[in-house]
Amino acid sequence: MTNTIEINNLTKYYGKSRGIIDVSFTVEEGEIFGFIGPNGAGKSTTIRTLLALIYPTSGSASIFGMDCIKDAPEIAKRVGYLPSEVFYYDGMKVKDLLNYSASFYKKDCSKRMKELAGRLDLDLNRKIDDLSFGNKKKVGIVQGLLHSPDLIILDEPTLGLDPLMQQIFFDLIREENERGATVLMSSHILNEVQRICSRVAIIKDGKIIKLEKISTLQETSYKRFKIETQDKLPDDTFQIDGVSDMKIADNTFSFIYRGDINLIVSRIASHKITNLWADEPDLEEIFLHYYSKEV
Amino acid sequence: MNVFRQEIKMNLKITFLWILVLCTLGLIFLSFFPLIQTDMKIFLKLMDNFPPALKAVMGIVSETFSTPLGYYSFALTFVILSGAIQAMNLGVGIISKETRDKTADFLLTKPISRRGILHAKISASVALLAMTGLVYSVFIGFIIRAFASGDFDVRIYILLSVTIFISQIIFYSIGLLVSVAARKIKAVLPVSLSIVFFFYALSAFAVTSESDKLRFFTPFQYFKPEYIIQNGSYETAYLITGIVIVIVSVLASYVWFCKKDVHSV
Repeated sequence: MTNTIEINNLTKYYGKSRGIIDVSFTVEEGEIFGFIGPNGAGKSTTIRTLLALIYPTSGSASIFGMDCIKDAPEIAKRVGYLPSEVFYYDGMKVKDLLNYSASFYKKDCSKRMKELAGRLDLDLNRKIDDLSFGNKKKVGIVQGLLHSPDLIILDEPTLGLDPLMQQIFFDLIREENERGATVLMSSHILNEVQRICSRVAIIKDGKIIKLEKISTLQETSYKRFKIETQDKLPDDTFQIDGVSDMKIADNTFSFIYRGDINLIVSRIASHKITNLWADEPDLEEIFLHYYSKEV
Repeated sequence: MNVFRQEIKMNLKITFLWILVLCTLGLIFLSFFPLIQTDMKIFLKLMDNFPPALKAVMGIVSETFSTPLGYYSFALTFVILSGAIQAMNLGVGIISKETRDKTADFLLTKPISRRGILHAKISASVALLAMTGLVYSVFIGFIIRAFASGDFDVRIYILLSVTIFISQIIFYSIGLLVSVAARKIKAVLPVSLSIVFFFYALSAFAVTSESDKLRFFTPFQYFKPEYIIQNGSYETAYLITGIVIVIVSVLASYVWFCKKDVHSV
């Protein structure tokens, strides 16, 4: 399988402050690749370098086998990009902006544009200024997909979309992927990446700390448990491998767990509990308690 | 071509507004001419009491003030000042607007090179400024000819009118460079007004100073109407200085813009 994106030792410093350091990974043709990390880890820096919005301090990256800086306009013909921030030109209607966007590509995009707008329930005749954040985001989605790109780059795409729209959005991305498009998507929400991606790169403090298949990530899924018991239990009741960030207050145990959930369940079963929470920990927590040790 | 068209579309309304402002300004000044002309002797005497510096800043030259074009050059000072603000706004806004409205990510990830974007934007601005100068000059030209009754040198008038356009291009190129060099400009008007009035203030120093050297530092002093009226030509040294400023600013803008990191806001 050929690589759509190849990143080699990409480094970017903003003056003296760190952007990304020695980032290397490849995205294979036809896959949906997740790029996750806490805020400020360097996701956007990497993506913006790929798009030639910023220039690397050292290292290089190629897309479709072309240099991402030198051949940027050529690459851009086949790339669709959805920035994390919404944008608008003063006084422009949705369809004006989309037509403007389409005018850069040498193909007829009008059919696809209408189709996408319909799917996302987006009114083409509204002024962009008057749209809500979520609707502006939709304009961005249509703009990024209307030319049926071979590579779709998404920077925190679901920010500001309600759950229903997120679902439609992920369906769209999956369809694009089935059509043959490669997808690179950044996010700080693990759950979101797990839903759609086949592989992920995890970035922290500007460095890639892990490349994993999503299946591996799911096997070692993380849960935050909070267990309230009727009686005061010994502090080491839930002391098993994979537990960390243990906090004990009166009758309440709170911890993050990575491993076989049945082990926890069997421990719980032998005690009388009054309340139980099992949540997805946010990525920050996971990083703090697992990946930080592995660096 | 699409970027060019888009730029024209986005700036057309404001350009029409500026044309209206310039024409109104010119018209107001000219409408006083018949009045002043009838009492020219009194008026000239009155003006002799003006401090020479004030007269110089306002572009009043007693010797030619009684002729239509001489009087017009007094109005021209203010037209050029307004035109400079228009051009500076256009220059400062052209790149900074994209970062402010977060449209830079949109435009710069399209299949067009940064050089191509700048080409299109600059061409659109020059077209808009040329249109401004042309519409204004033709309109005011007809008005003056109506007043002047035969006493109207078209060649001189064209030379005078073209200085509006050249001055605008100089200010535009300076604004462009500022726009490209700045990381983010929150609002265009305060920036462009400060730059223009800085040069205008410098202009006041330049006319009152003994030496001509200061004139090189402010584009407002590159084209003295009285020189043009007397000699039927521009002062070469200043014309060249102006052209050099434009070339250097534009080239620097290209180099800078093509190397610039475009940050998300």
